[in-house]
Amino acid sequence: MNEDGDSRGGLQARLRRVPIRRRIFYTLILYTLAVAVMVVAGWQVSLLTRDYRQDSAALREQTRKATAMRHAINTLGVLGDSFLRSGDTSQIAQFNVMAGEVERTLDPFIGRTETLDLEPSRLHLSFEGYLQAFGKVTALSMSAHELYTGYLSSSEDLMQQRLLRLAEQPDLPPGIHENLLQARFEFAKARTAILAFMNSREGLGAVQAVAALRRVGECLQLAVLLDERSGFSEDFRGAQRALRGMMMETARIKTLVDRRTQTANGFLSLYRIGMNRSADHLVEMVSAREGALQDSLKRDMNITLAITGAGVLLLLLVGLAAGGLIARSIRDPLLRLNALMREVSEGNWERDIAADDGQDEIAEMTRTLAGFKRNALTLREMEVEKQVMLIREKEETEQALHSLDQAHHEIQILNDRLNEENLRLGTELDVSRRLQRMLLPRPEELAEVAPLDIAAFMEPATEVGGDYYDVLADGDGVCIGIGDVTGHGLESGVVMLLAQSAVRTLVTAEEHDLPRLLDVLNRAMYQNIRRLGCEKNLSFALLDYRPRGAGEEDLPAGVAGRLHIVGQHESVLILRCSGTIEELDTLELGLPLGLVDRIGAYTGVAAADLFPGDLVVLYSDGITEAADANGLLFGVARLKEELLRHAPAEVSAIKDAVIAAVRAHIGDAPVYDDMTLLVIRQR
Amino acid sequence: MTEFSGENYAARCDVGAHLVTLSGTLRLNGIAEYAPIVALLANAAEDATAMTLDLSALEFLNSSGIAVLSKFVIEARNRGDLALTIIGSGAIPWQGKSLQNLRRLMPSLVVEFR
Repeated sequence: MNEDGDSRGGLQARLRRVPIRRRIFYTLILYTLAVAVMVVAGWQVSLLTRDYRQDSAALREQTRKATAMRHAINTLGVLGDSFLRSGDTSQIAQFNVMAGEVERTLDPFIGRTETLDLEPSRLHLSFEGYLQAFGKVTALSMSAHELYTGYLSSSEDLMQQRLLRLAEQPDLPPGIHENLLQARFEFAKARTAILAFMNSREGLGAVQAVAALRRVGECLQLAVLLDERSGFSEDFRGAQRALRGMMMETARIKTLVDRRTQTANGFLSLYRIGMNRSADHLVEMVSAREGALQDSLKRDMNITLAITGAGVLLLLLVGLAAGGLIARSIRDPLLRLNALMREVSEGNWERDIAADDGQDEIAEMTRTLAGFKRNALTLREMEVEKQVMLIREKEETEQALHSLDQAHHEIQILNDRLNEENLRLGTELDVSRRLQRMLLPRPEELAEVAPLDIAAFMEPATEVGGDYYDVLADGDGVCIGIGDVTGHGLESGVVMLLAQSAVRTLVTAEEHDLPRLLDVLNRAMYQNIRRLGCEKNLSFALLDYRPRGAGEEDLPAGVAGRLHIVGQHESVLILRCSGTIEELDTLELGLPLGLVDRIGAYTGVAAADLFPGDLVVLYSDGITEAADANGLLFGVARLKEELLRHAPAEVSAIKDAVIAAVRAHIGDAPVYDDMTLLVIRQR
Repeated sequence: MTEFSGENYAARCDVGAHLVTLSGTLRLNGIAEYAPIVALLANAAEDATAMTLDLSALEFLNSSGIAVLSKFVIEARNRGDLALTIIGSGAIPWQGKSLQNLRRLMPSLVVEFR
């Protein structure tokens, strides 16, 4: 058992050196071979069976033929005997037909000396001898018959007549008559015997006939002896002679018949016996041969079947054993590996994975599993390290969080302070915005300016800017101020408020000397800005408009009003009805206010006559310096283009169009500066 | 050599050569935010008899910046012993008017357009 296990283990180890796919391939080949052998064996057996059936049928056929032949010979003998007994010639035709039948059934056996020895020839000789003897007997019978027929016709009648005539003599002496009657009676018996003999060809009939005839002769002899005294002796002697003739004929016929019988009983029966014996022998031989052949056939087939069956069975067993062995060589290590994998998957990392010394896929899988285990162990170690690190990091994080919390607390305090600051700033912003809005002229004030149509736009940047404009009625005329305080925020707003207030004061005080007005304004601003402690200044221009009055004949014809401009700001644009644009540079008309304490030296006044329909446009640098995303400025040239394009429209429409163009130019870019635009038309 | 830069602008002062260069786009909010530039200019002008201010690459200067520049020019004029040269660019819109204003504030100022 143990040894068996070892040898199996050894076989398995050898098999494990072959890859599984090749093992499966071998198994398939084994099974294919077994199937092929079975198919071939089955084919062979079927061929064998077919041959056996054919041979067996042929043998049976020969036996049947022999039996038929034997039967024909027997029938022929019976027919021959019957004919010999009866002498009925009508039976000869039937005999001849049967003889032909025998000839026919005998024919297949003639010449087959190789299997049936000389028996068929012997049989044939007997058959032919029988036929010849039968022919002779027939011929003898015929001639005896003819003889007898002639004898009967010639003698019998004569005898009959004589006896009848003698017996009917009226005057016969007593005794003679009785003898004659007796002779006639005996003659009738002889005749009957002769007829019987003729019919039966039996010698007894002839003997009886001769005896009866002899008794007839005796009766006649008595009658002759008694009748020596009567005159009928001659008749008696004539009857005796006829009787002797008859007796001689009968004896001759009997001899013939006896010869015939002799022949029949001799040669014919001899041949018949030989024929029958030969036929029997032949039948025996044929059937014995059939039996032997059948037996040998059966034996051959059985042997072939047994060998084939044993071979197939052996091959199947070998295939099964090999298949089982191969399957086991796959299953056993697979089960081992499966158990290992299950253990490992259940977390049993301590399970030792023994090295598989096979060279097949399973051995490779086992090695891979060992590799997995190694990796997993490494990973687990790393995981443990990571956990330790995580714990350490967590501690550090908690410490950091603690210090962060402290920092956050401090930041919170700071933030609260900042919020307060923001609130303060927000409030400041709100106040500044309101200041800027509050001081702008109301729309109805603009509408009150009779000689001019005025549209104004001002929008601070994100924070409150320093733009400023004002429209102040002054008697018949109107003063229009425009300015821009540097920077943003509450301080700028306050500076603007101061500027507005100072301008209003000066205009209200009817200061018409514009350079002086500007100088006073500058000084007031300069000193207030210094008091504010900030370093703001502002660009500022004042436009003093006077409509054409009654006493102003020196003005050119068609002029509806005149502008005087003082102070430095952006250029003043004048669009004439003719479609031309005049750009009045204000650079030389002043300096930024609040920069230096006296600006008298830098101040100048410019003048422009306005005709009905002329447009005057004032703008802050927020318009011309509006930048798009690429930093490209809107520019004065672009402003002029937009103005020219919309010049025929109402002032508010022109203003809206220009602002829309500026906004489109800025797009998504930030708005850096306040934008102010005034469009004024001379009515 | 002092040098600093902010969003979209750069300021550079070569004390030995008495050269201050401003470039880019200056949109600082209010005079307070211009303090580093004011200090840069003051530093360059200190103990110098001649000084050059190169603005030829200064694409844009907002009104607060112009105010700072104006103050600086006024201080230079008041000192009396500083030969100040400003290099500008004729292609930059804001410079035409503003540099002319500066020359009006300080007639001895040399303005060179490139």
